[in-house]
Amino acid sequence: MVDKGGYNDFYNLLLQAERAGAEQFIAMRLGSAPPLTVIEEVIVPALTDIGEGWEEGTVSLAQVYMASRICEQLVESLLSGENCIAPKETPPIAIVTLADYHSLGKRIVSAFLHSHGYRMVDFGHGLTVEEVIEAVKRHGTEILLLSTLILNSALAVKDLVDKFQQAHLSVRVIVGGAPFNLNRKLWAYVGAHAMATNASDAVQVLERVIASPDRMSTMTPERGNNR
Amino acid sequence: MTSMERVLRALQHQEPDQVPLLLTLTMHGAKELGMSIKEYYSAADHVIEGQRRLQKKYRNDCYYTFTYAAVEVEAYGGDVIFCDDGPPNSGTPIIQDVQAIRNLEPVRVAEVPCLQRLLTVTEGLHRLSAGAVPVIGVVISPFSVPVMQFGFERYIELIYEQPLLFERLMQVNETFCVEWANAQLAAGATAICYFDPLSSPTMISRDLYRQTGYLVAQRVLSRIQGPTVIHLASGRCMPVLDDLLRLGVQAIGVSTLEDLGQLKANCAGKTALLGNLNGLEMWNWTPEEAEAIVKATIAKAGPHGGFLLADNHGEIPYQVTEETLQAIALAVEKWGRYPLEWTKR
Repeated sequence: MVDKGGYNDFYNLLLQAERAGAEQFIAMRLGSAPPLTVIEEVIVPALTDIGEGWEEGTVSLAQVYMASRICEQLVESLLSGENCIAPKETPPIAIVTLADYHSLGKRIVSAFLHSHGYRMVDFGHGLTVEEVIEAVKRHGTEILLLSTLILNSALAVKDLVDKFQQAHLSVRVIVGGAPFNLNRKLWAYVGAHAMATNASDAVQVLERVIASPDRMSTMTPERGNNR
Repeated sequence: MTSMERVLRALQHQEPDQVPLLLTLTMHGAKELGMSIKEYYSAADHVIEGQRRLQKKYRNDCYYTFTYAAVEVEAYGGDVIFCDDGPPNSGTPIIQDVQAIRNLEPVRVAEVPCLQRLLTVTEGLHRLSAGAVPVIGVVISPFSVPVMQFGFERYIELIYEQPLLFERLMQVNETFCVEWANAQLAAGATAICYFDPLSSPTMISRDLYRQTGYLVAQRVLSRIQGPTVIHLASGRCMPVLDDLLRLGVQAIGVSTLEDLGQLKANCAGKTALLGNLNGLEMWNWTPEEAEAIVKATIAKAGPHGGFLLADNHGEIPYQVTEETLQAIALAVEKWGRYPLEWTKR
């Protein structure tokens, strides 16, 4: 069990994007616990809390991004060399930003998933539906994390899912991004397998999707309307 | 009342004849003219005619000169990527090397064809308005535009890790923004909407905002020679509301993520509110849902003026149907007539 004293300090260092301070904090914890324990009991909980803070409106997206970048590099450093561990065994996973050219959301989710031990192929951003299908075939992808920024890209997921079915490709699609957060019925409309509301949620949703082949929601209460 | 009188009365925190309706319709003009979005935006005459038809069709209380945000990177030679059913996107960031910021200079509005085209739109709508319909011009804030100039991730890193280069970038962008806003006012814009999505607490923390985006807004807005509205484009504003109020803007564009009634209470008599219909839900509203939501929104923020009904993002998605837009307009005419007696019952 790692010494959890000062957890709030680490959390605050991440929120302030204090990379040197965060590295120093982790280095000190390594004196009393192995790297994997430090990752599981300090880094992952802090990242999770930060992701959930964004969902609650108490943490900004810039803070989430900087924290995820710092943690991703910390985890890579902790698991390098003799501490190297095998990534989690999963079906082939890929991540992509459909149509849009802004990939911040994808990058944050990638960093969170890496910090949790997941590995995935990054298809990049700005891909068309046809390009995503080709990439899925090429990599044998079974779970696709898909980020969008604007409504027309989100609606294009419906076309993608239909074409997966027509091509007999069994791909479970997890969607995320502003259109889905602001319209909590959209993920089901486009035929996604699940949606995630933030990067922490993406980790939990991915775990559930791996465990269950059925369609699911995040079970997050509906928000974002006037009703 | 003309639309201009209606809007001005609301901005003065008085009750006009009806809640002003400011539908931020952009790409719908292409539908009206039966052309692609790219073709529509290629000529000023298209946009003028599109806005004319949309204003008439939905009894809209404004003309909106906004075409696409990426025009501000197109002005620097950046790529714009058009699609058939959504807003044009900015392509590869124009600043690839962070050190290039040192040599970056603001473009001059008079020398940039895409900006001149928008000024022609503004002049045309100003003529069309003849003082009866407000013409809303748009600038992207110097603090937010680097998301397109530089890329989101690298810009966030710049803000946190390279304060001197960040300040240099702001100097360049502020110079351009002030010139661009004032050129639109000179061309006939009634007011300037200062889009600043990155300043929302959804995007950066309040502490960081006070050290960055707030100071930028303070410097820029004080140099814009006309009325201004600040819009955080769907982002939350409540945690920075006091700061926004200090900026002296005539209205604030507010998010559907926040309690409109609470925002109204906090802003009453200080600044008007613009919002907050959820554009991302609007595309699949039924007419009945549209009416119910417009009614509920007016009930929260309409009484005593100081409120303009609009979407919460500053651009209504292309997918929102004519039927829905008509339902919204009809609902405003049905439920938005002052003195809003029904809200008191």
